[in-house]
Amino acid sequence: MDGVWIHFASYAAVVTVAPLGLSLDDLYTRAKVKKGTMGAELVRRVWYGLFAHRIDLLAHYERFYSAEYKSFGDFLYSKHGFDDALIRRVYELLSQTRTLGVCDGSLGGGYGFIEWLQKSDGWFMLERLADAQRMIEDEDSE
Amino acid sequence: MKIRSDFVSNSSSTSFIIILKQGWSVERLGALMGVPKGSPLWGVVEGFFETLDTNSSLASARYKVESAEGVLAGVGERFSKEVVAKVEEALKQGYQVRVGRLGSDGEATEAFLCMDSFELEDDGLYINALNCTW
Repeated sequence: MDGVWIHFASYAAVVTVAPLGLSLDDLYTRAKVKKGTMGAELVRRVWYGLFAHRIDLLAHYERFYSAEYKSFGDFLYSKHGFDDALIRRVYELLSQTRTLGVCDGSLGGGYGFIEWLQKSDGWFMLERLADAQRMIEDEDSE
Repeated sequence: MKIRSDFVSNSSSTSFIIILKQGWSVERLGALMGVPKGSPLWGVVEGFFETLDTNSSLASARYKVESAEGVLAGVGERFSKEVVAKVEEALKQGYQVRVGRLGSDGEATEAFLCMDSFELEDDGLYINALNCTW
């Protein structure tokens, strides 16, 4: 599966599915921002916070949590607070791609960054920066 | 020891200052932020402009003073000596000086800017939000 799937599960947790394969320079170009400016800094934070720092959640579960949680779904529910619908969605996506990434949204963004991305203008920025084949879902709008 | 009950807020507010050499508009802010119209970030520029604009006013009106000395005194209470010197020079040149406050419990853009520390300057515009730090 190509593209990006982003779900704001909480103010600090962001999930992305599928490899982005987008470098920071690619993102600068796509954003049409001038390097060394505040606009470029916002793009850098998105890249570092949401993509560069994400971990492969399924691999993370298998390596560290499979003894503690009987299934990946149980891990998502108990450890990350995913609801049933979201867990079903994750399994559906995993049937198409092996990569499920999650990152702590506070990484590299600073206080309020993820909330801003989720609730305000940052959301549109992220949406437009993402691949055309992306799927972006907001928990609040479901 | 005092124990406070009921709702306790952890919100905060921070000050920022804008010096306008060529006018204040969303296009000017976009140029300062390095974001052209047509960029996916243009909506961000518009959101930032609206937030900074609605939460600021002319320094003289903000501090309820008419003289440059009054403005400098007000700025001096909230900003560094370097900023005061910059404002002093700006007033001599006849530039407009706006000051404002942002709250961490405001809407998302206001909260983000309240907690984000930055300083931007080009030939036409100076924004100092270095007080905005957590």
